[in-house]
Amino acid sequence: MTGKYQMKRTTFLIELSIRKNATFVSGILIKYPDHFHKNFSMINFDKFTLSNGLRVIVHHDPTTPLVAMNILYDVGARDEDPDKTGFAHLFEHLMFGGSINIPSYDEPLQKAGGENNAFTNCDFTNYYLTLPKNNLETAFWLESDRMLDLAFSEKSLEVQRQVVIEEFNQSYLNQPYGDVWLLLKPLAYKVHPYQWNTIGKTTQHIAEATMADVKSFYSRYYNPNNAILSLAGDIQSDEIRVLAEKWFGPIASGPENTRKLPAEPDQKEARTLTVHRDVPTNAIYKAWHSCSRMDKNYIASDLISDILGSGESSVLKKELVKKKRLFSEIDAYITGDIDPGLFIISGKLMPDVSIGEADAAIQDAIDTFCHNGIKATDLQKVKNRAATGFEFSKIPLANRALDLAMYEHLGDINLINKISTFYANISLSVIKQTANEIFQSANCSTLYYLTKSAK
Amino acid sequence: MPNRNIAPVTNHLQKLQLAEPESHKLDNGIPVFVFRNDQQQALKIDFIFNSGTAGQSRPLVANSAIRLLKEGTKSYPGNKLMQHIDFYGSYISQYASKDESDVTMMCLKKDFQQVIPFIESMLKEPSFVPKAFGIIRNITKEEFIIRSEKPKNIALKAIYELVFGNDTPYGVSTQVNDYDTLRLEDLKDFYRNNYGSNNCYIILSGPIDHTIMNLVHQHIGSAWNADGKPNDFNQVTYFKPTKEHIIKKDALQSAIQIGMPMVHRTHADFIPFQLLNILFGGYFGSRLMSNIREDKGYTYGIHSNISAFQQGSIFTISTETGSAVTQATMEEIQKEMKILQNETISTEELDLVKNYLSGSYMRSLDGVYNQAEKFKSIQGFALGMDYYEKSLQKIQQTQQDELKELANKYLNYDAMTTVIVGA
Repeated sequence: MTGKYQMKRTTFLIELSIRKNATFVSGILIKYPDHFHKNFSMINFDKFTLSNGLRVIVHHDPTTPLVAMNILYDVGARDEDPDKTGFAHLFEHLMFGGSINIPSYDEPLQKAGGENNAFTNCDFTNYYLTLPKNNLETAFWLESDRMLDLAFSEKSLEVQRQVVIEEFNQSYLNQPYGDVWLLLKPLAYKVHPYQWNTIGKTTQHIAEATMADVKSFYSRYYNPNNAILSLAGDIQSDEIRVLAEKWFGPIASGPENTRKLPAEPDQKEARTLTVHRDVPTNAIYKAWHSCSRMDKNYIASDLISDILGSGESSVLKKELVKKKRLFSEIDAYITGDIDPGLFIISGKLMPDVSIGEADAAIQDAIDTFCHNGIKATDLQKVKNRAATGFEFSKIPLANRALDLAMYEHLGDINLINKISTFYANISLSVIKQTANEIFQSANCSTLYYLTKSAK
Repeated sequence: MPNRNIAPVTNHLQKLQLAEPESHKLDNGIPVFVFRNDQQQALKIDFIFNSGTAGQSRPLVANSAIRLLKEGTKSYPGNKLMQHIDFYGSYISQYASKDESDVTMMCLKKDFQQVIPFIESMLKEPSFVPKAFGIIRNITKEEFIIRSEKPKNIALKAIYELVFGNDTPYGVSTQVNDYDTLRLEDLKDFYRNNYGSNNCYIILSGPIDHTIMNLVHQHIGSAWNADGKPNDFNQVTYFKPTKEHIIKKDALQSAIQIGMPMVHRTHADFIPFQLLNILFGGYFGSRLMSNIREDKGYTYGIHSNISAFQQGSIFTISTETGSAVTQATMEEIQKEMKILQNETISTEELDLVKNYLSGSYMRSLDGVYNQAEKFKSIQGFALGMDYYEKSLQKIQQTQQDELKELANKYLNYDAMTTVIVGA
């Protein structure tokens, strides 16, 4: 996640979100058993669309004095020009540089007791805030004005280019293992825009961004018909409709954006890249092409990553960390992107373990998994863990507003209340079949990230 | 079109109070506090032991002891315990901070009955098997080595050593060879003396009903390690400001920490200084962020912070800046301190910060999990339930003159230690 200002522990969005993908999952429609309701809390919501195309979602929770407001714009790093990468995220920073009628976004919100933040990923850009309910109108005023028009100050562009370059340095270049994703994504993707990271390919691209780029990006993407507004709190749909009409209603729609992104062709041959860096231990990163978010196998691929790497009793942690002691840490996860994403296994090696031995051990564990499948209790375990994860991720108010906007963005807001059931219904045979589809050796890109002295 | 040039009226926050938890006592004397919400399925149980790393005889003991609890018990040897806990979809975490150690378990209400016996076994009969100890020691050593390479962590470790004193309970830091000399016996001792029913309280939050309470009584209610003598310590801080530069050749950025000891949480200046801290570097619109990030673009972020521990507090300013602008950043930080010492804060800015802080209190008390966290943070200091209400009142009453005085008293660059990790 790349964004306005991400600081460990203070981004309230990820607090309590113990499941890595809790807010980033989706699936397909499957039958919905009634008895399920009693163990899962439902998220109520109401949805309407303004005549300018802005979709509005309202979640009612009478127990809180706060309101969370979330605006998702349907533009991410995948929509960037390959020669101007990192732009969607740089633009997100500029959204705080003042709008047409309001010189400062942050000040009035803070004065109203509010707090805000934003993040950009490869698929979309998201802005969120919380404030006391009695100051709700301030949020409408601020968010609608920056959707109406920006101030476009040269000073703001100049400063934020610098800030983002420092963010690039801080998160990717001046950290041990910081550039892993800068290496791994272009290794795995040759055609699709997922080949670059949200932060951009190089700091050069950010340094070269011009005001003309900023203005054309804004007029193309920052329009009511390209946005989803969701709110959560002790609020009623009727009062929100009045406020939304008042503040967002007068904003004109923009052009329709149809995405025509080049599909990544099937990978026919395994790829390997070896780099040496000033780091304390050797590491390995393996990436397999997997499915898109709305694919029928998406949930199975998420569960496979849990079976392999989530929790102390997971296959890789138990076998390769505790039993064989080849790794000090190992993880398996999916990137969870809307277009076909990656299935990743990454690990840091124990001293005296060769990279070849470590790679072979991962391969061995995968082969066993693909050949034998898993026990019913192991599948039940990851389903149970997913169920708990979903329940905990629903607790923060801001998460509910974000989840509603994200499921709407995916194309089916009702998934928010069905998703746990879909996880519960995945069968052993689907798991095995999906694993065999993903873990083809030709489908894999491997990065050996080694110390300076390693051979 | 509405008139967009005029901001909607903003309302001040009404009264604010931390909801009083239900309180119970188990037969073994453990106090139990309940923050109840029947609308949710997700349940959390926190065991808080009143001993942390500051009380350990040597580095790593507390965290290794608490981590080893789940690596096998008498009833569930080896991996069995974690297999069961994972199977029921429950998540467990253990951590020793300076003053206390926490074991936290999260699960769905329907699974509590299945999971609580594992927690009971983990707390009352951990095996401390040498083999598991060896494995965990080696893994955590590697994790430590990797963590220690991060510029920010290097700076943070140095500032704690320099502010509290590297031979004091709060200032001492772990060295890599501490892993090699760690002894299982020390862990067992620490467990027996500190992680018992005489040194603990419980917070339950979520859908807590009679059935849940009965299960807690049944499984946790008997005494264990009850004759343990919790480790005591005495933090004596001898502070002398210094300037430290840790060289990282060819670094693109410098990690900076500036710090000094701060008054205790119960001191009269503590709350008003919190307000000054927010204004200076404690929120996105702070003086430091506005100048050094939003005007100069020297950094992705800069902030100041007060960490309060039971026997002393520390004030820090932290940032990572471009190598070429490290000195310029230091100068701007000094300038911002001088401005607060010499110039009166405007009424508008003061109002803004007070409102922001009220909203921030409201956010931090929203929902039972946040309430439980806040409750925990006052428990360790024996502050009353009205602490948040009173501090908010105090903040609202604080005037410009008082903040200027506080800036002169505490925000003196020359009285602080600086650490730079970079080229």
